[in-house]
Amino acid sequence: MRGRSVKRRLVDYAVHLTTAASALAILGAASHILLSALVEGLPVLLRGASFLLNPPGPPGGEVGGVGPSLAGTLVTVAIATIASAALGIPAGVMLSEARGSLLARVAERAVELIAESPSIVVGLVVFTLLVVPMRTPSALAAAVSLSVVALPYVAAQVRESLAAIPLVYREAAFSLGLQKWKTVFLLLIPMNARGVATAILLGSMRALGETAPVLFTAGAAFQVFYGIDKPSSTLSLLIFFFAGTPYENWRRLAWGAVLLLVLLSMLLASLTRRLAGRVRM
Amino acid sequence: MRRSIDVIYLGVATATAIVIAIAAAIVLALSIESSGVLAREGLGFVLSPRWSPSEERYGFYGVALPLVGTLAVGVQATAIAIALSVAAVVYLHEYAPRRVREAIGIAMFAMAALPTVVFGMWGLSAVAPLVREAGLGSLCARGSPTGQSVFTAALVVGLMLTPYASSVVSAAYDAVPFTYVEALHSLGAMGFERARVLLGMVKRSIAAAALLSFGRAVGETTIVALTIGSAFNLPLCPFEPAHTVSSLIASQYGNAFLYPGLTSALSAAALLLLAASAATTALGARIARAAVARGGEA
Repeated sequence: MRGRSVKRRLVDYAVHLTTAASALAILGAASHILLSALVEGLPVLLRGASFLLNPPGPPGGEVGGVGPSLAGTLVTVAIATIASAALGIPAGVMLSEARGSLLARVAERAVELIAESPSIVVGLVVFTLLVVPMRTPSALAAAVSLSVVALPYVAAQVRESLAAIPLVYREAAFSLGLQKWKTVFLLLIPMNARGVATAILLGSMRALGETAPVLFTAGAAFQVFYGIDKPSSTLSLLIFFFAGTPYENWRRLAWGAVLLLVLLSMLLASLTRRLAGRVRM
Repeated sequence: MRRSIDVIYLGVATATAIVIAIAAAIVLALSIESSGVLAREGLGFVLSPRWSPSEERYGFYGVALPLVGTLAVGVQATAIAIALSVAAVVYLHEYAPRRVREAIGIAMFAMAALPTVVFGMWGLSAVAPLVREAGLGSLCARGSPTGQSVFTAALVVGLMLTPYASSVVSAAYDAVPFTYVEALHSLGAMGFERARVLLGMVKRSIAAAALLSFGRAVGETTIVALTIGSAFNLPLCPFEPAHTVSSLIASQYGNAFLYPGLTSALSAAALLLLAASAATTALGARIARAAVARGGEA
């Protein structure tokens, strides 16, 4: 091996510098996003109850609040969380416990296909199959759309966490005469409550953050929350629509919604991390 | 006793069947919806640059321009994400002190948790003005006056993908057997020499990360719709506004029922998007699995 020649040291220094600059760029971008949200959003968020409860002000007028959209978000995310858990947990169980069976193999491809579908595509399909027959966009259609987007994350997380349980536990259960599917629900799922909770949280995080699936399914009712089968909106949709408007007050409102969404997402993300240690999102 | 087991299995199987039905519904609904325009336009749908729903009785539908836009944004965003994440992984593994490593870990975690619409809002209000003020638009023939351009969209999408790409690359880098790292140290290899050898060993995972990132960039709608400037334009120069297939859907699907063929055309565009995203993601996932199975000794 050559000694530490000047050339090697220079190259090493250059590589050190460029890679450090890239890492710094990532750090800088992340901080700039979070700081922008804080600086622009905090004054709006600090309006407190009027921000959380009121509808948006008229274009060019008062700032108002995000009340109806917040209600829409809570309702759609709640429904999507429940629905994606109700389908994703059994699907994950099937993928892990019946590995190799025909049903599991087909389901594996199905989960992959749903995961690979761009979320706007899911929105389009729900529009065709639900919004058109119902003749109106609704919170329900948005929730269905979000459930489908969240579903593969829940299923994959449940499968991974079940697969991580050592075989000996299953053997012990079988040796005591417990049947296969009872073992799953009496032993493996309770043992693995953390993994399942992580899966549900991941699903709700996905549902909270997505915009494209609700673009055509929720409607754009920012002024009033009419109910579950009526046009509705979510925080992410409000940001999407208000971000590009020429009205100063609506853009400020969008920043307030950004900060609220960031805080909610961070809360869910840190809960997930605390539960699961390391999770790939 | 027997009956209760059957009930559990039946429940699980029913839920699984519903999941399969959802996947089938996605493909079927899009195929049926798009059959109209595909029968009419044939290959012209993909090859023709002419998109004018309001013309004649049915309109003309060709997605060549948005397709090129999707490719341009996808390639640039993937290049940015892979360059940033490979550099960051090398820095974090070979050079960074522990506290810096922790700080960047937190930044990556925060970025991974951010909804895409937040990136979109930031791109629109921070990156686009920067591109405009820097005068980058004047470098192109049809440069963007607002700063919304292919490059703006690709930069923001690339940043959004960076935590994802670097988690894939970093996992592979960590999986290289420690004896190799020890051997490199014992030979007196410096940081860049260690990185060169180790990156050579994980190149399959880097390829996988690139494909997975590309698959996500192709389908990304929220960021792109806010930052690309929505124009029918052949984006040969990165500082011009354009459309991607996803931004086209986002901007026109809402009023699509007003034109006879538009709904079908946009569904066909969505089908194209699904095929592109599914193909690259499936390939990427396959390479990633193979790379992990080889235990880093690729």
